[in-house]
Amino acid sequence: MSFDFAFAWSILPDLLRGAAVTAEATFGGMALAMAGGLLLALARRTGRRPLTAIARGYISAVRNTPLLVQLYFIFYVLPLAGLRFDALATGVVTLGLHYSAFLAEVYRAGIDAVPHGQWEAAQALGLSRSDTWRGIVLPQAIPPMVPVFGNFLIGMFKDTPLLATITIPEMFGAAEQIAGDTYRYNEPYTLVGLIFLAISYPAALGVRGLERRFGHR
Amino acid sequence: MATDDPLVRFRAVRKAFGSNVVLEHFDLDVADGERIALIGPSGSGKTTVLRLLMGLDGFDGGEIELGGAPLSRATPQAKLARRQVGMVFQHFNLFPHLTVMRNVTEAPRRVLGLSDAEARAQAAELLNLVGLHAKHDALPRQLSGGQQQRVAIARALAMRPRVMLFDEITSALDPELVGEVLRVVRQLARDSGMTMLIVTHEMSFARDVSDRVVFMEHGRVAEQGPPAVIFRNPRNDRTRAFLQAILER
Repeated sequence: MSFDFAFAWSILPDLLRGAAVTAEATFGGMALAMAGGLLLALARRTGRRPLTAIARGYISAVRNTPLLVQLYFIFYVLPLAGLRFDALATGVVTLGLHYSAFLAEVYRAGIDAVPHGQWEAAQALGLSRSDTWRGIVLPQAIPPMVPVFGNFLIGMFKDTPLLATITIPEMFGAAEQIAGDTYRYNEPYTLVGLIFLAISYPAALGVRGLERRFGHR
Repeated sequence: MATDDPLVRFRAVRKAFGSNVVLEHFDLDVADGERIALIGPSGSGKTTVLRLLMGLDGFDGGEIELGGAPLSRATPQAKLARRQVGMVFQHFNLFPHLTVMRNVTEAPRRVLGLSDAEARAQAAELLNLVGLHAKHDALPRQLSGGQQQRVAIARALAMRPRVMLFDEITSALDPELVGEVLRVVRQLARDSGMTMLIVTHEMSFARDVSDRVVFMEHGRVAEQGPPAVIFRNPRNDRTRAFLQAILER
């Protein structure tokens, strides 16, 4: 087995174009997941039966099925019912839906960690429910969540190769394309692994820094 | 100062947490401007009286009226009435992510609709009153317990309440910090004419600051009267035993 540096160099632009799609899917998916997770966490807290039950059911269903199955379901099965999205949109939405169920639990733990006395003080001052959430509870609940969000962001990043299975030309898909065209596997897949490592590892160090910053207060 | 109609009226109020009955047939009238010290053994329901009036817990029976408005249901009228009530907590409950200044300006800006400048001017005045003029930009965790509790008093006053509730406000403090907090409340009682309900285990403070002492036991008023009478010559055996136990500590 040999590693052809010239060949590797020549396919790098294609892989980096794929990496841009990977980044797009990751950040898009994370933004959706953070918004969706917050909504789910709030729905669970309302105490209103149908809302709470729906949120709970959704979270269990999503957490207990594989991401790959969810991807296939949304990409191949929903179109049979007339719901058709383009591949990248499907990928971003599926990542967002999948991770929102996990982030809902992160929000929940963070919100529960805000002492009850904070709610009572806000109520005694006459602050409205929404002012209490926005001004008092979330600003205390979210900082400790930041490193956890960071870990999920890295996790989502590493899940993006699954998007290749629904024809999204992200980095791993680009590598497969090259391998398929040239019958050369060593360079594209090795490079993909190295690029993942080059991004994930510093990101993980960054998360550790965030944990130190927000962990003990 | 006091008018004929009480400002606050508890009528046969009942409160239970599960099978634990905390208040039963609790009656109390509080005149406008009156300062009442609630004393009694722990578990006698003193703190619950304050919490029900503030609306932090619901009650199961009877009625509480505030300026004539019934508080048993969460009506807009009840909500508006409760805006006249301020509360200071045993554990301060300051907002840890906000500076001292923001702790005191947040609610007046959002609830009373004061401008930022108005809210800050008022807060500066109140922080002066509680002796913390130099700490505007500090975060709560940078302050001593006594300082935090004084900020909490300023924060409650910033909503311009007619009734102030003090719930064991020195119980969580180191002994050497109790004095600075009680001094602020004493001064407030002397100068403000505000109605006060004070739950405390500091008997000399209760004696000095109140017009009336209410001794509670098993969720009811067991004995009440002017501090001079209650402390010097209690009629109720239980009151006498309680005071003895406290004073012999």
